[in-house]
Amino acid sequence: MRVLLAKVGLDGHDRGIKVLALTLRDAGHEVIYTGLHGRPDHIAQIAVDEDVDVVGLSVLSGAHLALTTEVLGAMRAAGAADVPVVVGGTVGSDAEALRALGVAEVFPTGTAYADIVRWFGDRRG
Amino acid sequence: MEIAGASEPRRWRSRADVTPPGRDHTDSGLPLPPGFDGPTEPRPAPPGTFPFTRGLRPDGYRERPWTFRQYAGHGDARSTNDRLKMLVASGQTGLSVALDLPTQMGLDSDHEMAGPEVGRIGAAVDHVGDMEEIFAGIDLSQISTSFTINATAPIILAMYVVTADRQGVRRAEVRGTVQNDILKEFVARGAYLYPPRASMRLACDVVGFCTEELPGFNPMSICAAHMRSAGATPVQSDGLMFAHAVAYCDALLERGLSFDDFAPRLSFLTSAYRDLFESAARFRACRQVWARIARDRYGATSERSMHFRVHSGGDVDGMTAEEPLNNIARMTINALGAALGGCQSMQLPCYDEAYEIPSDEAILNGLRVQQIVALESGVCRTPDPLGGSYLVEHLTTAIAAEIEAIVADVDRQGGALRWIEEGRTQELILREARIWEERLADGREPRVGSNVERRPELTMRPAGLHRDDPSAREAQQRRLRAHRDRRSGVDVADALTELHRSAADESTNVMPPLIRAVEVGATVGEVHEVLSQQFGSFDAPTGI
Repeated sequence: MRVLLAKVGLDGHDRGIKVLALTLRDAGHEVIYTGLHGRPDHIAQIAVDEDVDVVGLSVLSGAHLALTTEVLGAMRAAGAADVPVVVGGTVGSDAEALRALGVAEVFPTGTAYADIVRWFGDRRG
Repeated sequence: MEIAGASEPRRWRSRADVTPPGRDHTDSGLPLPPGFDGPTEPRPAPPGTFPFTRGLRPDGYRERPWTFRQYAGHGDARSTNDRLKMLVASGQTGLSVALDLPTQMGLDSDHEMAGPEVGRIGAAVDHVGDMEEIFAGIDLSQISTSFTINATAPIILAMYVVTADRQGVRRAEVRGTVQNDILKEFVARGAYLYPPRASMRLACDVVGFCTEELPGFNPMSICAAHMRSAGATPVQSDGLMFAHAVAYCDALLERGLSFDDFAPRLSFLTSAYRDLFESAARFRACRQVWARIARDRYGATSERSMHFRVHSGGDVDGMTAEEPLNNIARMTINALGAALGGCQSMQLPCYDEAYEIPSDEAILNGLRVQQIVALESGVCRTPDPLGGSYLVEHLTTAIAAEIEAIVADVDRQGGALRWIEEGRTQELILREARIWEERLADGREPRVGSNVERRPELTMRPAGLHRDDPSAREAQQRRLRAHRDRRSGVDVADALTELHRSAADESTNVMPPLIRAVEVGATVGEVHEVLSQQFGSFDAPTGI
C-alpha cells in the first residue's frame, strides 16, 4: 500500500514514526514520510497528490484531538474523506474519542510494531 | 561507520554488540572486564585535579549536594509561577522552566498553528510581561533558572534579562542557563527554525553576549540526552555531544573569542540511565574527555575552562505506562547513577511520565527521590565513592576512549555541522533506534512490568493525572491581545527594524537590539518573524 506518515503539529519526537516508516517499508509498503511540523492542510494535499491508501499521524504533545480534527477536516475538504487516517502517540486515554471522530485505528505508544504492521497488512489483504 | 586511523578500523559500539544473554556488555555495548576479579587499573588523579575524572571539587558533595532542579512549567505564567513556588517551598534549589511548543517554535499564542499546543507541555510565553509573571515573587538574585529553549533562546534570554533588570538585579548577579543547543535539535529533538549556519550564528551571539554582560550565566547546555532519546546508545550520545561541543567552540573561536573567555560557562546535559555502573562511569569519562579537549585541543590555560559541568536528566524513555509506581525505583537508580557520577544539577522524570506532564504529587515525588538519595543514602559523604572500583575504572577508561574515537571520527569526516547537513547523524541514530525497538519488542532489553513480567490484566493508571486547562489557553490569548493594545506600536516597530538590521549584519550581535525589542513589548512571534525574514526556514534531513 501507499502510506503517508506525518508528524502533525509542533511536537518534534519522531523516533517512533521513523522506525515505523522503515518497518513498513521492510514489509513491502511504499512509505512517504513528510517529516516534522506538518500542517493539516499540507498533509491532506500530499495525501491527495500522492494518491495514498492510508494516512498515519503521530502526535506526542497531547494535542492529538484538536490536530486530528483538523486533519480529518482538511482531508474532507480535499476530497479525500475515504482515505483512512490512523493516529499514534500519547493517545491511549482518548482512543474512543478519536474513533468517534472517524479515525480508523489508534496506536498508543507501546503498541508493538508487529501489531501495527499486521494492521496495515490486513488492510492491504 | 569505519574509524580509520585506529590500529584496527572499528565501527562505533552499538546495542547490536550486546550478545545474548546480555550479561557481558553494558547497555551501550561496551564489554565488561573479563574475569570478575580483574586487576584494578591505576586510580585516576584525586578529585579536583586534572583531568577531573574523580570530580571537579576535592570535596565532592560534602559541603553541598547537586542542585535539585525538577523541570516544571505549564499553562500560563500564573500556573507556572505556582508550581515553581511549590517546588522551592519543598526544597528545590534551582529552577528549570519548561516552555510550550509555540514559544519554542517562535509562535505567539494566537498563531493559527499554536492553537491546541498553547500551554500544554510548558509555559506559554508571548511577551516580557509573561516572563515577569512567571517570576513574580521569586528573587532572581537568589536562585538560578535553567530554560529548556533552543531556537528561541535569544528571545527567552532577552526576556529573562529584562525581568531581572526590572527586579533591580545587577546583570553580573543573574544566574542560570539557556539550553541554546541548536545542533541537537536538527538531529534529535526537532525544535529548530532557521538553517544550520544562521542558527549557529544566533547561538554564538547568545554566548558572546553572556561572556560580556552575564558572567554568571551559562549561555549553552550542550546535550547528549536527546540523541539518546532519539535512539543512540548512551555512549554514542556522549560522543555526539562532544562533537557538537567542538563545532560550537570552533565557531566561537572563528568569531574572535578566546577559549578561556567562553569555555568556563559552557555547560552540558547528559543523563543517567538504568545501567547504574555505566552511568556513573560515563560522567567520569566525560569529565576526562572535556578536560583533554579543553587543554590539548584548545590550549585552555584556565582550569575552569576544563570543567565539565553537567546537568543530568534521568531516563525519560524508560518510564513505563504499565505499573507506574515501578518508575519510582527507576528514578532512584537514575538519581544514584548521576550522584555517583558527580553531576552538578539533576532532574528526574516523574512516575506518570508516560501519561502526562507531572501531577503535583508526581513532581513532588521526583524532588523527594533526589532529596532522599542526597540526604539519606550516604552518597554525599565521600567524593567519587566508586573511585578505585575495578569495574568502574575499567568502564571509565573504555568509555572515554570510545567517546574520543567518535569525536575523531566526526572530525575526520567533515565535522558535526556537515554530518547534520548530510543527514549522517540522523541515519546513525535511526539505525540504532531500530535495534533498540527490536530489543524492547522481544524483551532482550527488559522493562519489568512492560515487556517482561507483564500483567496486562492489571490496568493501573496514576491517580490525579495533570489535566490540560483550555481556559488557561483562552486567558493567555486574551492577555496577549490586551498587551498588544497597551504597548507602543511605534516603539515596537522601530525596535524590530533595528533588530532586522542587526540580523542582516553578521558582524553584529543580535542580543542588544533583541533586548530592546522585548523591552518595549515585541512578542516572541514578532521577533521570530523578523529573524525568519532574514534567515529563512529549514527542513532537516530525517535520516530516512
